[in-house]
Amino acid sequence: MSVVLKGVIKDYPLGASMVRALRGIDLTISEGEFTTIAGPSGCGKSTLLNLIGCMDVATSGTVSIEGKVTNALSDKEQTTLRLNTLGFIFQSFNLVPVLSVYQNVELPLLLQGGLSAGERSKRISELLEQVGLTNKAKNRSHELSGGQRQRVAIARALVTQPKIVLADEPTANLDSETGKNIIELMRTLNSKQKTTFIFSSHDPKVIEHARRIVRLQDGRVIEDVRK
Amino acid sequence: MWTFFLVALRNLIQARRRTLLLGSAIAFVSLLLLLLLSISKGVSDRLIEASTLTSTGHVNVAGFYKQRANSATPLITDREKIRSLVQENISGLALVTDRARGWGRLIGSGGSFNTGLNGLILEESAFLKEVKLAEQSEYKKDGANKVLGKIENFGARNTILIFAGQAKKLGVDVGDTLTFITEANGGQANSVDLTVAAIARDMGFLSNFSVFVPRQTVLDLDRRGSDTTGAVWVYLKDIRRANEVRLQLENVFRKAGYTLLEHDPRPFFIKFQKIVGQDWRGLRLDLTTWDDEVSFINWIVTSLNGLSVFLVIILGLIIATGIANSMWMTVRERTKEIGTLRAIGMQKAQVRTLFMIEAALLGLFGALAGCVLGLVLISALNTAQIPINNSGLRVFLMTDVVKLSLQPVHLVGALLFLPALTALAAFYPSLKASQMPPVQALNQGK
Repeated sequence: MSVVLKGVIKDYPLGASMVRALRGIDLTISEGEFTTIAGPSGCGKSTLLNLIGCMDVATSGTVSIEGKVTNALSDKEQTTLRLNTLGFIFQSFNLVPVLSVYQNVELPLLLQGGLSAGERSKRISELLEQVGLTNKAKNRSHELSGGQRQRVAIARALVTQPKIVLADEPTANLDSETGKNIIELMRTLNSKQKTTFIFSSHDPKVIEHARRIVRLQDGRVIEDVRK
Repeated sequence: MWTFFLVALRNLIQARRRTLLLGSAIAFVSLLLLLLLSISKGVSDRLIEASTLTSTGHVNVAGFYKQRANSATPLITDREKIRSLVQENISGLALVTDRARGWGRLIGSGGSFNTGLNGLILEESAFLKEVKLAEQSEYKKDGANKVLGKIENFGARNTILIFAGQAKKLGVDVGDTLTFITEANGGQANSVDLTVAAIARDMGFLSNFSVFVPRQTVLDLDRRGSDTTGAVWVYLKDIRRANEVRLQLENVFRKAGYTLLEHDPRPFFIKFQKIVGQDWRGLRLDLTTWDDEVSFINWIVTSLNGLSVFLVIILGLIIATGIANSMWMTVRERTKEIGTLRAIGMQKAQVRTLFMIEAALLGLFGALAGCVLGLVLISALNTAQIPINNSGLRVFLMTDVVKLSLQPVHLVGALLFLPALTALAAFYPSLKASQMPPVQALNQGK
């Protein structure tokens, strides 16, 4: 199993009181799945992705990635897990503005180390070809459209060949046509590389592309459908 | 690591205005640092130059001769033997010479003062080769802008060479006669009339302490034998070896059977009273280095260095505060970027390094600009030979024109110190940036 959540509760402080964002989530996502976490704003989608992505810690319950209980890991170990096992795609792309497309994609590989410049170049070129940005390799992010930026983010997320890619509202900042293209691209990569994709969305047009839909409401799973 | 540099560099370019402002401030500090260091080194060089021409060798073999318990004369016997021992045992010698020493009152038509009398061996004197003669206007009101007298005139029987400031005090010109009165060992007064052969340009503070006559004049005045002298002066090819050579010579003279005074790092005339009060008789050698002999004016270099350090600390603190503030702003502006970098797998230490590299690069560019400006400015000031008109300042700085001495080590120091300072100033904001939980950084940056 790729991702296993057992009885996950997440509370956030809000002034003097606490707000419960997740209310006991039990969820298992297998390797190679193309899953969407669906639901309205504030239902806990981003919180759930953050917990799976080791960017936040559950108040109670356990989150396991590839058999490792992430709650028990140190910050350094969690960071290493994010670098080697997980890939992230953000709603607002989050590219490093001062780096070129090529350099943005290369960054995780440099953090990882171990590959020669030639090997890195080969891998990045293949990815940029897959996302259709070969001719934009030297451009900076501000010279790209929203769709192109998200493609760069996808390439960056995949460059370390992670087991799981997490995407938080990847199409929210894109027009519907571009959004559709991005989801199709993610799906193609999922089919070809068998990478597990977990993405959140509240857009029905995006959700319909998923093979599995986990619907959240008020911090609870209210529906889990496989197509 | 290259990517870190690239990110840092491009972020600096992106924040052009802030970079320029802070970079200029750092460049200014760097420039000021170099100026202060080169002034200090310039004074220190002039001090070495002036002192080793007028008052001391690099290493001195001097001593005191006590005929009675309550007297002391700053002279040594066995002059030839002592010179030979130095020449036979010390490597890296540039010159070995000696100076007869006397002390007394010099009287001119317009005034008098107590001074040391230096008896020079003309053919061995570096001082005579280097000294520059003063124009008459430098020591005489309404005097001509030309040099009277010649250095060659010095050396004839009973001639004297004095400095411009001394000529002014004594109210004399070239060709005038001065009287030098000294108290001999027996307590009687000896005197000699001396003709001013030449008047030299002042060499700063040290010009107040010495006048120069041929060696034989000192011997005649005190009725001393030809194998006595005041001190054997040892000049080395490398002045930095002075202390090592002093220690070597202590062993040489002990082995040769001489009794040595315990090393006292002060000039001979300050030790005089101490020796008078000691209960021994005969000759004891006293070995000193050039900086022992000028220790009484080291306060000039020490205070200049102190002032420089103080100014650099104050300016450094201002720069550090500016950098720290700027880094806080950068961290706040780039919170989302920090969150992203942490999310994609950048460790806390790497985030810290990234921001510190940015600050260090800013420090390096500022320091580089300051060094280039400093080089240009210092070269221009030295080339322009700007005269120092204030006599007090001339004495303090030991020169009559602006002379700055910039060493490669100063440049390297500035290029290392300022980036290190800016990186250090950025440490706390960088630490805070790295400790931000990724999810918090991402949410704050939205």
